[in-house]
Amino acid sequence: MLEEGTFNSRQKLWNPVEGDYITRENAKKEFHNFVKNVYAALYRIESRSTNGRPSMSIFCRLDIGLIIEQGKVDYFVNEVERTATASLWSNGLVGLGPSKIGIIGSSFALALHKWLCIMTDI
Amino acid sequence: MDTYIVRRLPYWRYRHHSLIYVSMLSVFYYNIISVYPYNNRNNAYGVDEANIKNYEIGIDKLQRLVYMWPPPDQMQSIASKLHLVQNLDRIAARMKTIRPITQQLVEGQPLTGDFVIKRTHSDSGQHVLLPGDPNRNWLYLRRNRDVPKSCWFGQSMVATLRNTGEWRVIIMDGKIICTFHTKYNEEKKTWRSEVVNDFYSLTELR
Repeated sequence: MLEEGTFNSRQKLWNPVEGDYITRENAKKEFHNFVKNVYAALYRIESRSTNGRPSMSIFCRLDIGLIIEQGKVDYFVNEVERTATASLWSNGLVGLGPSKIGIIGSSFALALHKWLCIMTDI
Repeated sequence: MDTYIVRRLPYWRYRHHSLIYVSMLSVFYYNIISVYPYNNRNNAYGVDEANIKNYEIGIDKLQRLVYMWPPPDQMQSIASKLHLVQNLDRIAARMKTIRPITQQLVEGQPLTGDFVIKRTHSDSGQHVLLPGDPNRNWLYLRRNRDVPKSCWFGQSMVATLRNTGEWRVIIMDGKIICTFHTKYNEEKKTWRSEVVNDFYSLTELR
């Protein structure tokens, strides 16, 4: 594990190349749990206010940032995008690593198909 | 057409038929809304006080014929970022996590200070005014409130957004599909993104 208090000096805060697998697994779980909890809470609020399935049930993009206050570091949701104009940040030419656009496209088709089936199930 | 959907959709092997059908309608939908003029760069959708009624009538007619996603009746709450911020504030309070402070700007109030000015009904960072921006004045804010029901709000600066970037989480059908980390390169004036496979814990980042 890295020493505490190195936040400001560290250049890259993603894809760490050190730390044992338990530390990395727990860190991933911590991030995913935050995302899932916010998503579930937001879904509940929006399903109540729309009295139906919120648009985010098919697709949304949660933008997560880091925020520091009095020495405490937290994740926070900076933006929620869920329309056809949302950037998918998957341009393989610009980004590093393989493009995920095929997986994203197929997953969207699956989610949209499922939604259409529910909507047309009369 | 509705019968066609009902009969075909339950069969996964016909999924592409349904998607082609939907995408064709999307083109139609796009053609309908694209007849409205693009006023300027600050109004990407071309909707303003003058044409909003026609737009709503057109969407209402179209919605009787086809399914639309995102549902038009949810678009207003999606566009109004203040509703979203209020919901996120409430969720963060329950989860006991930190959030930046957000307040709607009152006409004429001083715009100096260490906060970001943002507008509702906007995306792609088009209406974001950082401290020092020459457009941080009420003349500019008033002129760029052309989308009906849009308003400007102030949000406390989160320096880490610029210094450390953001994690963009793609969620489909309630499942996390993938995460990208994005950061703006001040020198090259461009964004870079990278697929995230591993994370630091918040304890390590403290």
